[in-house]
Amino acid sequence: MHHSIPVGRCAFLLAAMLLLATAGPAAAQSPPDTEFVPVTDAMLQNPADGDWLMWRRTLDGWGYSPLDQIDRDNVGDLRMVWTRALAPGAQQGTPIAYGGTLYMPNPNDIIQAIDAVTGDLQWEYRRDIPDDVNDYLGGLISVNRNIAIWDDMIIDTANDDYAFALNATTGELVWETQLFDYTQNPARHSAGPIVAGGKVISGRSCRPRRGPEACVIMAHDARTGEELWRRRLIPAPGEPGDESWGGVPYEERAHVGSWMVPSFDPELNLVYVGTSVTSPAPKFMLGGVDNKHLYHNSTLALDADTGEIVWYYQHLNDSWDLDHPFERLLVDTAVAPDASEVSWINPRIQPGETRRVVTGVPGKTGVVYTLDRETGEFLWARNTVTQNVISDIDGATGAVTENAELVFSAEGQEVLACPTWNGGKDWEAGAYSPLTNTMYMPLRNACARMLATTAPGTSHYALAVRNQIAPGTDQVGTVHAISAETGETVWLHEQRAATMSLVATGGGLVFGGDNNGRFKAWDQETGEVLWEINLGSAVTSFPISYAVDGRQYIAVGTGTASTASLFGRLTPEIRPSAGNNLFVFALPE
Amino acid sequence: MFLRRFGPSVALPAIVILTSVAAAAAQSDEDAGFVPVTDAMLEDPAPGDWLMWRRTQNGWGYSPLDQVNRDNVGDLQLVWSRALAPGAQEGTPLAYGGVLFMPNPKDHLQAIDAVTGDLLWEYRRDIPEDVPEIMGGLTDNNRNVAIYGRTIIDTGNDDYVYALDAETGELVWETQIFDYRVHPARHSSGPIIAGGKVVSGRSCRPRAGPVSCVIVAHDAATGEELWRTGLVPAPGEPGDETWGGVPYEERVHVGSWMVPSYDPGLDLIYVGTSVTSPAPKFMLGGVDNKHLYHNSTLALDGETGEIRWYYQHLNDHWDLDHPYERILVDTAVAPDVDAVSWVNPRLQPGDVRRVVTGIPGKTGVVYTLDRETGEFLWATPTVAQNVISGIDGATGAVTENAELVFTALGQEVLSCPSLGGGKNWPAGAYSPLTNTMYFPLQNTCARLLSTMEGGLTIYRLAARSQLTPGTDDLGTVRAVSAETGETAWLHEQRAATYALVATGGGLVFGGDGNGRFRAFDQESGEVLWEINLGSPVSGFPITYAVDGHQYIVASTSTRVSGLTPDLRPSAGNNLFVFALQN
Repeated sequence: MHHSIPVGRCAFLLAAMLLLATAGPAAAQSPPDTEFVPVTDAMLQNPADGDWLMWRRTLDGWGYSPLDQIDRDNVGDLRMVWTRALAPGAQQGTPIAYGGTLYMPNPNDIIQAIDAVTGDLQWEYRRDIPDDVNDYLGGLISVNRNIAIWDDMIIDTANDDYAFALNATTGELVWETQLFDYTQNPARHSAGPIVAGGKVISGRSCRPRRGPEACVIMAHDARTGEELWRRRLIPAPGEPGDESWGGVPYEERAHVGSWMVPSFDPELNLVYVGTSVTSPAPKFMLGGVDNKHLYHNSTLALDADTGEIVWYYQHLNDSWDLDHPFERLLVDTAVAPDASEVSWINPRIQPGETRRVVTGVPGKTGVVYTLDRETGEFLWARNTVTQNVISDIDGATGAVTENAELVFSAEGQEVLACPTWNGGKDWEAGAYSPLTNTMYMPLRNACARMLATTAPGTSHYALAVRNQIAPGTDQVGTVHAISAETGETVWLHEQRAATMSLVATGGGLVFGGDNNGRFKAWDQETGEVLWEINLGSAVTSFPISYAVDGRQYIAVGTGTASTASLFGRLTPEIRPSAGNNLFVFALPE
Repeated sequence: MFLRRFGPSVALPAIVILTSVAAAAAQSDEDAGFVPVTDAMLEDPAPGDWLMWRRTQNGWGYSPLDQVNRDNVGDLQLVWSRALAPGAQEGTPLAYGGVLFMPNPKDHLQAIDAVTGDLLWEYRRDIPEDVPEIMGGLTDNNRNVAIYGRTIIDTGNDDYVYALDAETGELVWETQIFDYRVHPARHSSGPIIAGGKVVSGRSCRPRAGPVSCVIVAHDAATGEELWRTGLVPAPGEPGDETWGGVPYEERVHVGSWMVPSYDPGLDLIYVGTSVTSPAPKFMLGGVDNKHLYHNSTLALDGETGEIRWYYQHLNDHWDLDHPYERILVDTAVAPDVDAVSWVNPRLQPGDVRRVVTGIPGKTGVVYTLDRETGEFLWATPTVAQNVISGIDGATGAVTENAELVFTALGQEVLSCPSLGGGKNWPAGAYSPLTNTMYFPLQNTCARLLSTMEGGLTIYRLAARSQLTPGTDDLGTVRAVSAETGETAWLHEQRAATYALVATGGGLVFGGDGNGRFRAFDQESGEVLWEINLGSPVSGFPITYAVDGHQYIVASTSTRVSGLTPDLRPSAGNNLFVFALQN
């Protein structure tokens, strides 16, 4: 007669007897609430190997875990150890892993704490979002990409335009602070905050209907929720940059948001954020094409204590909705761009130079930019996927010249712009491995016929768009491995299905999924696919790796996302399912 | 390494689709493509195929595949997964020619590459919007489909039976069974194929009288209706006298909402029936009437649909339906009097019989009958039940517990099991290796009130379910010898247990309400492998093989048991396929 204990923490139960045996250690492993070890700024700046404490794990945006139990030799033995369905909606979440618990942002501002070993639910918080929020925010409100952890709290921003903190052991609300009245200054929070030096730093997508006031980066005291500063991303009359708007009235300077997640350098005490396009996108409708409309499509370095703009760099004067809000990678590296592959190089770079850089693919164009992250000095930039919107960058100044043939000058003008407004690059994050000093970027070969129009029913960008695969290929998905030192392409993986977010690990692997439900492991050095499994639905979440009691896990989620459905339409023979699920893998014990 | 099969990384999905289609075709026939499914194949399927609800017409839920066995099941791992359509998901895939044919909720069928998980085709039947209202809900369920010739055959909740081209998903034929607005019948389960006939049951909604309370046979090639047999006798028919003069139009709801079994040798179809509406018989002609053929096993002639014999399991006042899987076994019949409550005194030592056995109803009672004659052989309770006080071994006549038989409105009783069972639609399995049946059963009771108001209006009952007094374990898996009736082993746990499959590797696979899917040793009941699939494992697990590689399938959905609020599974409709590493 076997009388099983209903809930154990052991994923593979070999016998009822084993179940009994593991129940004891499991209890010890999951300490009582009073033993929750508070997360400090020091831990966020130098996390334990097994923890994943923020969107890209570390403040430098790497998306890298040093865990190496799973490596090139044994990754073929990786297997699912548990799975769990997530709440409905557009699912692009990143779990946080800490103390044997996964904290998972589900769609529609639902947050769950899940036993990281067994997959059992510990608590669930469903924020009560008013019914009319969707009307004010114009859709896409179910997305909830990431949350933060600090002290004994899980911290997030929500689409009711609040920042809030939950008790990490109970899910109970600790504090909440209104950011805006969403009926007056609606801002969409598809991504959550990071915690930088005890401050909750958050960006947002500011909806065009109410002008520039919601286009801000904000800092709140992580302990109390008190607002510390807000930095507007659009200058007002009299402020620096006002002149870049060609006399457009302040109230009409709209939609320059920062809808992804900042990076932070604690030594420089600088917060790095990226911004989006204006609304409308064609600048002839907005004060003229020769104006820069600061600080759209820029990298900004903000003083973490004050929110002051220490420097900025504008990547593109954007007429095509090619946002630049994506992850900023902070790396200290030799800077030796290889002129045979890197189109635009600062002539002042000296051989053997080592710099503190901010690098990566910050925008939808797919262009890699490497800047000095202390000064903002342009160092080098290069193309990856086909792009035709930038014709040149001045290496000495970093000044970007757009392709004049594609810059709209009148309504009704149509161009073939590459990439399309879903990238190239989009919110799906790349990863950086210090083992190879290489960045791995999920990029798409896609272009769009774009028409400048204000016809009724057109988006607030004043563009009508028809997407297509980039001419000359039928491969939509790519992973580009690019050296952070030389800018060279180390390897290139191309495939039919669109590729999605990546994570790099100390085992020499890069994990990532695609629009056709496949989740894979690549060799960081060669790009060889060493393992693959079909999870059915588009792999829309950000994969992570964590460890509990010395066992390494890989976690990834599937679901639906606008990018997945968009690229799916370019590959209609690919018919994934549409399930929101979290999958966790490990090696056999 | 398992994934080496996928070849080079570039352009991988397209390559996978091309190669796997080729492999599937090669497995069936080198050149002819899809090999039509014959009656001979249904009666003796290839080991790697799963061609109907319980794989075989005898209702076993058993596959002879033995690549996955007691020694290596601990190495079982997920090889692919796929989300299913929304809605209440209780599907059983068919596996044939390298393809899984999966009934999704709401009459939505998919063909999926059985090796890669890629979708090959899908068919979404256009169900009129007023169907759920007319059927009184529960129209999502689509437990099984059938395969015959080149077609996938199912019944829909628009009260049609229809066939799809198995290679394309295109409609081949469809036949209206009823006008659903006039004679609504709910088709939560699909048909089997018996001798070239599509044999189907249904839940007949009370509002339209007894006309849709029928078993129907259609020609599997053309869809032409061949016969229909009423489960409620009309005036002048045998059994009319058992209704105590209730007018014919008010003899309602005696349906057969699960799936028949079939003995091709005897050419007999075995079906089980449900309770009446209302359930308390004092409201329906009196408690001394049997109200045939409710809660019975019926053996129907495959050619004509004629009732050859019937056996009534329970005169039912408590909504304790008896429509579940009938297991057809040829076995020694030697009930152990220490373990079996009711035994036919005429049984001789060494008797071997062709029996129909299993747990046909919610009470959890095992009944073994001679399947040629319907003769009662033995019966015994499993989970706590208090509605049957005795069965006459010589005649099989059942005596209900008089204390629980409602005689008036407002009467309240504690009856066990609850109207959720005991047993319910999650099927058990039988293994010929052990001559043992394995059943997922729940320890439940219910406070039942006889009332004209309340949640279960068509039954005239209000119910408050609870765990059986004296236990915290809701779920059980019970192994019962088909020969002796002895309980070989009993697994008990907090979470409710769901459908099972037995395999030639000596294993029983099954899941539970807390998302756990596990493998038991058939002989000992030891749990040899377990994984958390997140959501209740509500689909029927199966196993199949492609190119010599054995796969195990489980599926999940949304089901919450109010009896175990401490368990908080997720709510995802997903198909999971497991195998050993290549």
